[in-house]
Amino acid sequence: MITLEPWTPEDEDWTIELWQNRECRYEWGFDLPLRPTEQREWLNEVLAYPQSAPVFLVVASEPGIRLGIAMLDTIDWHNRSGRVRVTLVPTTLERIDRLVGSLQHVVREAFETLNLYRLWAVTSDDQPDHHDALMAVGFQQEARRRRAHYLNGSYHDELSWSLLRPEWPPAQDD
Amino acid sequence: MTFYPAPEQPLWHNEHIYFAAIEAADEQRLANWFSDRAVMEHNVPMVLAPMSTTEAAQRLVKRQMLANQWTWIVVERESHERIGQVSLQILSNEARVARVSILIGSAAYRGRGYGRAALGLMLKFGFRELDLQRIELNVMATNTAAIRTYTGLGFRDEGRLRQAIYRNGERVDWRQMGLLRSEWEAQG
Repeated sequence: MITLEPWTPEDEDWTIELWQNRECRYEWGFDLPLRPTEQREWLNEVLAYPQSAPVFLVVASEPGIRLGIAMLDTIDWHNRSGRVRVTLVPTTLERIDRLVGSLQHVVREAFETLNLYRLWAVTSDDQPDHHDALMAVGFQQEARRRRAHYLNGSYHDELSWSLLRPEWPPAQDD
Repeated sequence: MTFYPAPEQPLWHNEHIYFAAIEAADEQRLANWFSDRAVMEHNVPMVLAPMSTTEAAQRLVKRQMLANQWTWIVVERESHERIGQVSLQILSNEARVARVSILIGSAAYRGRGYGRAALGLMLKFGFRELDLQRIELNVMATNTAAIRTYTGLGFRDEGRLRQAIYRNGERVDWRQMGLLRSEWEAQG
C-alpha cells in the first residue's frame, strides 16, 4: 500500500540525495539540474509557488519508510493541465505496483482537488517500468520527440503521455 | 519607422529577409503584434490578452536574460520593413536540441512566404552555426497553414498533445513537430 505525505523542509537533504542517484535523476526528468546546489535552487523555486506545485513524498504503509518522491508541477491554470512525475529509490520492491500506486494518488489529487483537465508525463524510450505504470493508470502515449535526449553516449527518444479527466478512472477489466 | 543603417550584408539573410537585433523602438511594434488576434489566436497557448508597450519591454528584457536563446526581428530585405519575430531556444545543450518559434506580425506580409523564408533561415542558423542536431516546434492543430509550411520545410509530425489548449471555448490539440539535422541536410 502506498500513501502520500506532504513534503517538508526536513526532507530536503534526503530529496537531494535521491536526485543525486543517476537513475533517479534520469527518472525524474532531464530538466532537473545535475549539481546538488542547482537542484536545491530548482526545488526552492518550485516550492516558492506552492499553489502550482504540490509536492508529495511517497511513503510505504510502514511508518517512516520513504520510498520516493511524487510531484505535480508545471501547472497551467489557463489550460488546466499539469505535469506528473515520480521517482522511487532504486531498490524499491514491487516497483511497478508502487509506481502505479503513487501515480494514482497524484492523479486523484490533480483531478478531484485541483480540478485539472489534462495531466501529462514524459519518459525516455528506455523506461519500460514507467510506461507500464502510466498505462496501468490510464495514460495514453501521444507523441515521440525523436532523439531529444542524450545519455550514456547515445540519443534517446522522449515519449509524451497524457490522461484527460473524462478518461479517469479507467474502466476496470473483469 | 526605418532603422539605420541597415547592414550591407546582414549576418543572416536570404533573398527575401534578414534578421536584425531587437531595438527599444521595436517595443511598441511587438506590443501591437502580441495584441492582434490574427497573430495570436492560432499561435500561442497562453491567455489572449492585450499587451502594453511596458509589458512587451519587460518580456523582452526577461527573454534576453535567458541563456541559450536567440530572438530577432525579421526584416523584409527590399523595404527594410520590420515584419515579424523569430526565436530559437536551446532545450538541451547535451542533446543539441532547440525549439523554434516565429510570427509574422505585419498583416501585409502574411501568407506571402515570409514566414517560411524566416524559418528556413533560422534552421540554417541552428544547424550550421549552433551545431544543433534537432529543432522542434509546437503548433495548434487548427493552424493548418502553418502546419503546411512546417511540413514543406521538412518537419515531421511527432504526435499530438491531446486537448492541451483551451481556445474559443474548445479544447485544441497541440501538435509536436521535429526536424533532425540529418533530415534537413538530406534536403540539399
